[in-house]
Amino acid sequence: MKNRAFKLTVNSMLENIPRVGLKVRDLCSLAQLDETASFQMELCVVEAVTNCIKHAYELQPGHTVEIDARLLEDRIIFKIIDTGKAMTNLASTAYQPDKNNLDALPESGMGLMIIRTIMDETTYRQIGGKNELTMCKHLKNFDK
Amino acid sequence: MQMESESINNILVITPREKRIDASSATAFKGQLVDWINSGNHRLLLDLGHVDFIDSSGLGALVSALKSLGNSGDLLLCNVSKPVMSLFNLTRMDRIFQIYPNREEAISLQG
Repeated sequence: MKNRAFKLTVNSMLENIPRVGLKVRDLCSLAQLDETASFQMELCVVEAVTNCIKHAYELQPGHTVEIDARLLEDRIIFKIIDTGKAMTNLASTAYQPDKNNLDALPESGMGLMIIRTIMDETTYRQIGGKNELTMCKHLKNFDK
Repeated sequence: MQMESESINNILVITPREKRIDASSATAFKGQLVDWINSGNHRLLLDLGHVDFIDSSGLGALVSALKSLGNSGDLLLCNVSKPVMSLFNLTRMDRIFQIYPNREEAISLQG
């Protein structure tokens, strides 16, 4: 029986992100998620890991990002853990893109908004010197 | 980032050959797009047929390119897969970019 969980630790380098994505895809295939659902799970994890590398560790290599993923009967849970600078601005950027105002379009900072839009539950806490972002999606809530 | 380009009806058709446009490749991707724009190309069609993953970094690169064009050009997209399209939908960037089902339709509708 295939393992319905994985724990992966990567060095804080953007080049390691694709590897994380592939592990998420493998887990999603066990849940028999369709392409779009699998993409959205990978997207959330990739956004979270990217945030750790870019913001928690300020693009400095040599630090670790831990990804802890579990596929349960009714949900999929991802925990992303770093030991860098904690997120302080947890408010998602609310915006209404306007093609008549190109200058106002965001070029960055959309990660947390994407995660919160896709996931059913998102929590962030600091515990034992670590920052922990937990994301949960109930399998029944995937769009058909 | 490996990309092919060809000019069709005064439109520069750009085809990324890599499957992912994420934070590890977005800077190079943006740089290449902006180089093409700064070289005088103001009508670009990005064929995303080979791309199965884009994140907000890749999307940000597209937005940067669009801003570089301003009101004096077009950045069109085509062959966007259903999963990738969901990113445009949930960020509401589908209201910003002109997205076509295929390159033929994109080119023919540009006149």
